[in-house]
Amino acid sequence: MPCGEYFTGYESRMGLIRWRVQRVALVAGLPVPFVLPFLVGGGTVSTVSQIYIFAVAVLGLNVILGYAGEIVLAQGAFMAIGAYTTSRLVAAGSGLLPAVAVGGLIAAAVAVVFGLPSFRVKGFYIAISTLALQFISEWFFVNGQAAWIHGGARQQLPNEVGLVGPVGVVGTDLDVYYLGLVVMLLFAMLSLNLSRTGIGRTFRAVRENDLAAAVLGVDVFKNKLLAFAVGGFMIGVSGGLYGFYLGSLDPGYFGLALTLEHVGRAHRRRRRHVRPGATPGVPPRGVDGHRHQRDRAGIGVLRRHHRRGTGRRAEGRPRGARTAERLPAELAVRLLMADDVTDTARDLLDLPFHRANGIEVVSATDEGARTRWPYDESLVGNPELPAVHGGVISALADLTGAAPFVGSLGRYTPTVDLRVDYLTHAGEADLEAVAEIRRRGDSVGVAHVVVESGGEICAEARGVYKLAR
Amino acid sequence: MVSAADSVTFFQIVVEGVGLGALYALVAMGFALIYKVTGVLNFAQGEIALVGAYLVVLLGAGALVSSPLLAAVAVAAAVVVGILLGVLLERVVFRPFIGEPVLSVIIVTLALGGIFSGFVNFLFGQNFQRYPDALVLDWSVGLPLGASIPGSYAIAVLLSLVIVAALMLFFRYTVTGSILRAAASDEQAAMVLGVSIERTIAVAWALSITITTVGGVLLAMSSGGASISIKDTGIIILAAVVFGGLDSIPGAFVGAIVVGLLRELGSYYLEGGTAVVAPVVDVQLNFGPGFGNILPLILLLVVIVVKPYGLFGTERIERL
Repeated sequence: MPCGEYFTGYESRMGLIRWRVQRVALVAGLPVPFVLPFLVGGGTVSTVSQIYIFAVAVLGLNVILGYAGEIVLAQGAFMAIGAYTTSRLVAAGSGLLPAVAVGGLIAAAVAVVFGLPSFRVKGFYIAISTLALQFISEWFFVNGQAAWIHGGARQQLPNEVGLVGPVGVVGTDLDVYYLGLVVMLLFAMLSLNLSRTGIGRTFRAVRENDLAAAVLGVDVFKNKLLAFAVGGFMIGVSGGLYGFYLGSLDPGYFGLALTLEHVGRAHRRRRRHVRPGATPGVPPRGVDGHRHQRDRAGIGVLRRHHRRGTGRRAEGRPRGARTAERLPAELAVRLLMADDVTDTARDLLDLPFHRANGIEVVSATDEGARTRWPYDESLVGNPELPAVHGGVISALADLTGAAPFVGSLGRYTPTVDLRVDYLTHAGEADLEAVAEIRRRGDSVGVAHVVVESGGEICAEARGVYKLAR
Repeated sequence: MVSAADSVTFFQIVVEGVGLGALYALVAMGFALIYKVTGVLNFAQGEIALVGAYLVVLLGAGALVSSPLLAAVAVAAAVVVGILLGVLLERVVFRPFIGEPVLSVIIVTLALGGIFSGFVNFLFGQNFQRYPDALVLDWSVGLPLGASIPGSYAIAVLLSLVIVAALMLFFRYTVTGSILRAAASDEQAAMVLGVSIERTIAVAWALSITITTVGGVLLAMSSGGASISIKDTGIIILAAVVFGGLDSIPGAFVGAIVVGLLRELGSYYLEGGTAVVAPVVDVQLNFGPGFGNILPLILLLVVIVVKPYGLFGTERIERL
């Protein structure tokens, strides 16, 4: 950089490239990320792709936090909104880019709604309300009742997706790398230009002193909402790309830890301007402290859960006294003391047959499990009553009895024997089954299953499962 | 079609809601106290309650404390450790952040929460840790209309009433209380009058964390032992303190009772199973498991939009 500034006009003072050394650096430096994949190994390419994707999210946060000065603690929630929207639209065949853009728009809309309180309050009230959003989102994406909106807590994205509709298929690690790079450069340019234009100056005026800005004729509320919208959009887009990068979605990926990492990163380098090439440094570690590699098969998910042994959420455990009251006291204590294996059971039992019928593992521990099979007309076996087909009840009893073993061992346990007593017919109501382990041996395990239809016991079953390898 | 049994159930849920609210009130008052005096929003409040709950597990390990006396000693020791923790946190963590931007302090408390819960997770794992038998209260107080209030809830209601009254008297009538109020309303003026702000803030932290620790222990007692889910209290009490007005201790108490009621009613009636049916449109109100915890957060959002300074909070007017 030359000593002294010799700008003769406002245009050159505000130019993106102001000195010759900057032009040289740009020409010399710009090709580096483009040739990087040919110089380093596949794992590094995947890691750097993640850096680019997270950079988009941190740039978005920088718009809200750095330019508009509002503390937002819902990074994970906005990214989850982007990711789940993308997953649904990609499944509908829209192609990746439109899906990611719509994900960004929905995240922006939610961000604006949660920016509304900034009309009357500022600072930590926004922090509190967005922190509440983070917790609501973690509940929402796990909640089976809301599956018609988010499409299920755990989702797989296809390996190869067209950029727009079926055109321009991307799928390899290299494709994802360049996609992430281009999107990141695009948004870096956007926020760079945002900070140089009138909008950016208005944002900074609001951040530095909102009352003074209001006196100068700035519509503070409108500008805050605009910052929320722009930032939310970028974070949502990043979430959509992150979902495609991971290949599978789990609400656990979008927890508070993600928020903290991004806020910490934006805060550390809270700068007046974004400089080109100022990508956030190290890729953040995953929720459980290791880097997510690109993992299409979702095997890593299983591995992680298995290594930790117990699940991460408390909901899997029968919650509170209310659930336990329906069970005998001794069993209730056993279930409360049991290890939660819901995640592993769900992952392993996420089979085409179960997905097609909407069968859900509500919770599983190493002592028992609870499952649900939503009623559908296609399940009727006797249209005169109508009654649910007996095979449906057997199937549900079978899988419920297996769930505790499958979840705690982390592998499939073949059924050796299943005996079902049908006590009464099951009517037009969701089926629920509760399994309780009677014996866990070295080679076989025995589970007792009670199947309920609309809260009434309709069948009891006993299953024997092979546990030995 | 409201039968007598239904109304008894409803009354029982309300009683349990008030009991749970009283437990939350202890943690919430700890939060309001520290915000009132030091202006720090302690997002690690839930984790501090968690640490309190697990301190009893640590100190009263297994069969060592089978007698009620020793169990009481373990609880008392947990409270003493709570006081020390408060002083230590103030000295080491929060003092350097006096006068720093709100965001820095928020991130520090969030990180502190992560450290605490990670530490508890490391020491005890995810599993439920049963309390010594002497601390599991199996008695309950019968109430009219066929309801009853479990022992730990009864203690919580009494204790939080005593604490809210004691705190109000303390702030109103003692010299230390006056000093705390002075420091809260104008730090510099208080300093000019010879008040040691450092000591005042240390007192506030010690008080706050002690109350929170007691709240955590009682929360654990009410479910027979400590579990990692106690840390969720931290976010739920935010709803309580915002509803009551951030810097008001009676407000935190009232807010916590309301939040406890919402949580119990929400998880009994709106989570399926016993879900109620909306009267006019005839749709079952089932929002899925865990909705009881979410209902207070919805209240929080409504309050922030409609009445951001809560019931008894000080309305801040900013001028240039």
